[in-house]
Amino acid sequence: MLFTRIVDFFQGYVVLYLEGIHLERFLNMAINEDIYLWDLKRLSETTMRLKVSRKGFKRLRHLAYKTKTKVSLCGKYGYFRWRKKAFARKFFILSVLLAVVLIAFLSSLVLDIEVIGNTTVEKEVILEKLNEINLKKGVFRGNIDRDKVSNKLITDLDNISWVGITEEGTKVIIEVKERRPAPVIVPKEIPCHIVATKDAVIKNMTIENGDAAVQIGDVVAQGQVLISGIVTSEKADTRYLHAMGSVVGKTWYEETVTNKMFEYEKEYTQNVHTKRYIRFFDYPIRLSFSDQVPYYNYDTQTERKIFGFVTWETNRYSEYTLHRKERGEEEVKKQAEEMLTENLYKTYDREKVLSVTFEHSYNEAGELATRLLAECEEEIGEALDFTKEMQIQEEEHADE
Amino acid sequence: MARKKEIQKGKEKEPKPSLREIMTQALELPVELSDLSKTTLLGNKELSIQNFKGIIEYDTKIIRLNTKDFMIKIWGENLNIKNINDEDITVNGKISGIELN
Repeated sequence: MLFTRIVDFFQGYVVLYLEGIHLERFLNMAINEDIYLWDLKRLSETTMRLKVSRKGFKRLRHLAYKTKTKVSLCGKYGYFRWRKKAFARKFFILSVLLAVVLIAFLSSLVLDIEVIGNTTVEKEVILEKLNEINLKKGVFRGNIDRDKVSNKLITDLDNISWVGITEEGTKVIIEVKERRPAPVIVPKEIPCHIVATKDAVIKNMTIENGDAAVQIGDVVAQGQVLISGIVTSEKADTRYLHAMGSVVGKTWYEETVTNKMFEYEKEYTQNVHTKRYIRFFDYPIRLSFSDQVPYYNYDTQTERKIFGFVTWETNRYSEYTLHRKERGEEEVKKQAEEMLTENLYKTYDREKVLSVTFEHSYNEAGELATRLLAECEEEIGEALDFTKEMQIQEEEHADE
Repeated sequence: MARKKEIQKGKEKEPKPSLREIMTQALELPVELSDLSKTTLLGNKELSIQNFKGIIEYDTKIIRLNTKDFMIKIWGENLNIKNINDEDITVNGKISGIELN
């Protein structure tokens, strides 16, 4: 009954004022014709008020005639009346609806991308990289794959070691942390030495300014002065220079990895379990019976279809069993060597690497330890400002 | 002999249940499917009757309705019909009494 009342309200109803002597007969005839009436109120012996749907009212007229009942309209209510008024202001209604749709749509897009934490890498470079994976202004917010974005930035840009992505409404904030600190650059007016950045054997020296403190073939330690900014000569006074030049030395790179002699291999059974979710603004509603996956080991594959702020998500869980597989010695050695070589070439260019040797040995746990030892040549000079040190020394002398 | 006649008379006095009633009871279908009327009284404020046939009299002090086998008379004060359709009727107001005959 309630449902029909709601329907009647939407379709519109009228309030009638009846006058007659056979009102009961009128009522009986009305209900026999399946017309639904409500809110009947007896006003006097010959008058009555009731409410009926618009459709019902149309069918009542001939009944009123038959029972000689006078029918007068007391009021019209319902959705249809509102609609009449609304149609007179078509454009207003339309623009209100359009505004609502537009706001909802725009809220689901990315409207601003902010990059923070970058000191050496230019913001434009980061934005360009993001553009390549389709993260730019105007993309749907739901489509952002955080892992994909951070992987892209870390692999493509050397200096970045960590990427954090947060969303604040329609703004996407990319926070980066860089790997190497910016190189210390000593201004030209300040005198300095060129010192070694690591232990090495001097291979080449080119001096632009200053005095050489070492020779080709010398073994130097980290921090040792290679080109001195203090120039003494018999003819003139001691001069303090800003030492400049390039010193190339032979350095060593070492890294060890251990690998187990067996591995666990995944073998997929045919069982796949599917769970579906609907997300409204990132809030998921589970459409499957439970949240638990009935497998012990499984891989998850997620498929998302995004419509504005509604996302249809399907997760597929593929079961697998693990088999322990013994690996051949040659295979493990080769894998270790490849990994170490790859790491080596991340730090040094190929031309700089002079020689590479591998050492394999088994440790107590039965694992294969592989050690890479490489000789590389690289620039080992670094400017070191000695004025502060000199000031401290002078002060000490002054005290004496 | 006399006993038999008595039993027969007793049987005759009972009204025969209609086929519909038998089916409803045998199959244990809900009562609404049979043609009995169902009266629900909420306090003394609201009375709803399902499966009635028609209105005989409607006044603020007395309402008389017809059902399949008998007539229902409701009296009270300020009686109004909340809703009415083909088979159901709901009466509200201050109900003083109901009579079935």
